[in-house]
Amino acid sequence: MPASILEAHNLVKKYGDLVAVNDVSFAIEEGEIFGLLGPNGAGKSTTISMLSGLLPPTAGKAIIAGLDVVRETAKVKQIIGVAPQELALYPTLTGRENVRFFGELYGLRGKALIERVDEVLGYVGMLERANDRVQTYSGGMKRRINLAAALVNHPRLLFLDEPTVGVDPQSRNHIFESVERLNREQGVSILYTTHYMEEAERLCHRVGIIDRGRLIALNTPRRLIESLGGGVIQLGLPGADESVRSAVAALPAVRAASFLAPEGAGLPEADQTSATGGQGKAILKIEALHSNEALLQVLHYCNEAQLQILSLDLLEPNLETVFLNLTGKSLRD
Amino acid sequence: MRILSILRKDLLILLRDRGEMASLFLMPLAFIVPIALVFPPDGYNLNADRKPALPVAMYDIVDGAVGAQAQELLDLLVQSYALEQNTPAEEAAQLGPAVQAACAKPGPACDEAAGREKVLRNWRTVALIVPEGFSAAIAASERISVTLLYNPARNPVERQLAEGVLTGATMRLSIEHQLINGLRQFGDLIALAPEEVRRNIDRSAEFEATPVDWSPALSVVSVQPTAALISVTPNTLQQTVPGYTVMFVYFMIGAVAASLKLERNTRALRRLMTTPVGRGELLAGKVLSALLVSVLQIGVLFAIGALFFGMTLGNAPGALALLTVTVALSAVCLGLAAAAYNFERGLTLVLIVAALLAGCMFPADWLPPVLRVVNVFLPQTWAMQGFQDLITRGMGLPEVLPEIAALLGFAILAFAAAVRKFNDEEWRR
Repeated sequence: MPASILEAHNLVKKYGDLVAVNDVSFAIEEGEIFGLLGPNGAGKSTTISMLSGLLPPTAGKAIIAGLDVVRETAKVKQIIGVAPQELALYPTLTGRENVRFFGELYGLRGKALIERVDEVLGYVGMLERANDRVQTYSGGMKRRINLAAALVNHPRLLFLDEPTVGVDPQSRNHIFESVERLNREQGVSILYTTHYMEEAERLCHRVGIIDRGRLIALNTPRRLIESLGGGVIQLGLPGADESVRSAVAALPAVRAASFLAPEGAGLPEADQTSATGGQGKAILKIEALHSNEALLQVLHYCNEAQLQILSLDLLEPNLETVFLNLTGKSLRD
Repeated sequence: MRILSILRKDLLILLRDRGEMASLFLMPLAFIVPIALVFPPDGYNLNADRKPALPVAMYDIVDGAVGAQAQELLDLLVQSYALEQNTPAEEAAQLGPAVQAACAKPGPACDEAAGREKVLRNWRTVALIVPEGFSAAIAASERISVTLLYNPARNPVERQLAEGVLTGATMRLSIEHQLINGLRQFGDLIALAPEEVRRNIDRSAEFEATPVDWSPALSVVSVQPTAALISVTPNTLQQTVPGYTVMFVYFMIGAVAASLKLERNTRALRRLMTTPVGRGELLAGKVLSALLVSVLQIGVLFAIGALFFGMTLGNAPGALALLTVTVALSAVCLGLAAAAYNFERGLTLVLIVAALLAGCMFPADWLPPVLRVVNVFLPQTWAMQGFQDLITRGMGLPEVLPEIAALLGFAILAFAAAVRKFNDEEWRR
């Protein structure tokens, strides 16, 4: 079994009564790209802050390359690189000056520093514009410099916190390629947080899904998608009740059926009464064993039972649907 | 080494911030240069002998020369004032067409316009006009007036002083001549006296032949309350340059606060915390870079004052350098505290009022006693006092040690308050 570069054990972070991260545990293997997928405010950045030694956890502990992050912070900081979600750069300095400055903070000097700065600038495709001030860059170019600054110290473990937010497609592809090459050619382990499921599906070997500070699923993207079975059907059925739900759940091509929480209810799963809310606007979520067959059977049942269908969504099996299935809400909510 | 990296980065950022550089370097010059140009170097009306200048327009000309009694008056006044009877050509050239026209025929009687202009333009507090027939009237013990022009906008004490000196001199002159006239009348009378009386009077005339000492029995001598001596007379710039330098060096508080705010807002500060750099190194680098710029700011402003406007820098360059660094350090540390406690709104107004109370724009001892108690709590007061001790009063290091200690106290307190806040996890989030 490959050694873990990072182990998070029951991490908790509280701010007063607010629990930002709640009992999160996972491990990242050496050379792995691990994705933390969740909507904004789910606790991804706070988790990274604790793992990178920026914030002390309220409870739990984190080990990086065998070093305790809280007790051996200085050593841990030498072997990690952090590209924060915000563009943490100095706008009036050039791209090169920014990267060079961060390189100096890691103790790089002289020729080694100059060569490394050029190397990482080349890596993110910013050599040509390296001597321009950051304030003149596009959002995507700033993101690339942000990444370069995180790479300058040859990190063994790289934290990339939402590295493609506000980025044009060209820069996004460049960042994807850089991340893949870093991992493939240099064996850098990466913790990649995002709320874009396509990024997690494309880049990550394993994905942890985080919501409201809790890690609610962890597996490879393929296994997570497979957990959906044959896909998900969402059916808007006014006035549907428990008898309708149990009848649909009993159909041969259906694995399970449940009511989605009404909009704004803030619950991952809703019971029948709260789902309908007395307004007759229930949405029935149907997990199919085989989507086509399940769809035909459900439509046949509704026809037989003379149920009016207000809406029908056949959801593609992907991480977005996995998240929806687990939390009852969209990643971009 | 990391401190040097942070220092270099912060210096680059600060030097590239044109707005901040303008407020640190150009704004004080915008105050200093016009004042230096409007007020002549002897803005305190002091000449090289430390006597106030007194323009005199002389109309009492007898046979092409100043009348004897008028000359006696001038001889008395010259003990207290540097008389300006003639306007030198180069000075007249600067005074404008009115004065040049008045002085078109150089001579002792050409200066009324010059005197009026000097008073009107706020360059002199008073000017004296001696009228035609002055000597003849004094010789005949008749009543006559001299005119003292004064500028109501100037310091009233200077005017009262001039009135006192002039009253004393004219009174002495008047009494002297009345006495002589009395003696003459007495001589006419003694011709009628008996022989024995006339002999006794002749013998007393031997005493009369010895020179008369009209100097007062009591004299007042002014000395500075310090052992150190000023080699060059202080002028307006000795107040203006340190004043506006001190005022604007504390604008560094805003620059440091803005720099930290930028780092916090862009989350660069959070990123720095994920690198091996320590909080102490971060603060040290930031303090050093701002300190360098502040010292440079004081150096440049003092150099401009000295090179272009003849400001003196006192007799203790080492003490001046030490005080400069301490002043800059207190400004930088207060900047850290302002950043830590998010004090930015209204900061400029506070700094301007503080400069006013500290005596940066006018001497602090003009303030009412209540405000003089308040200004003890302002670093600008100690900075201003220290610079004036060294530059204006010619003191040395021992005399400015209290000011240096007070400024270090401000720096240490502000730094400690800032560090306490920076250690707060909430601040670094």
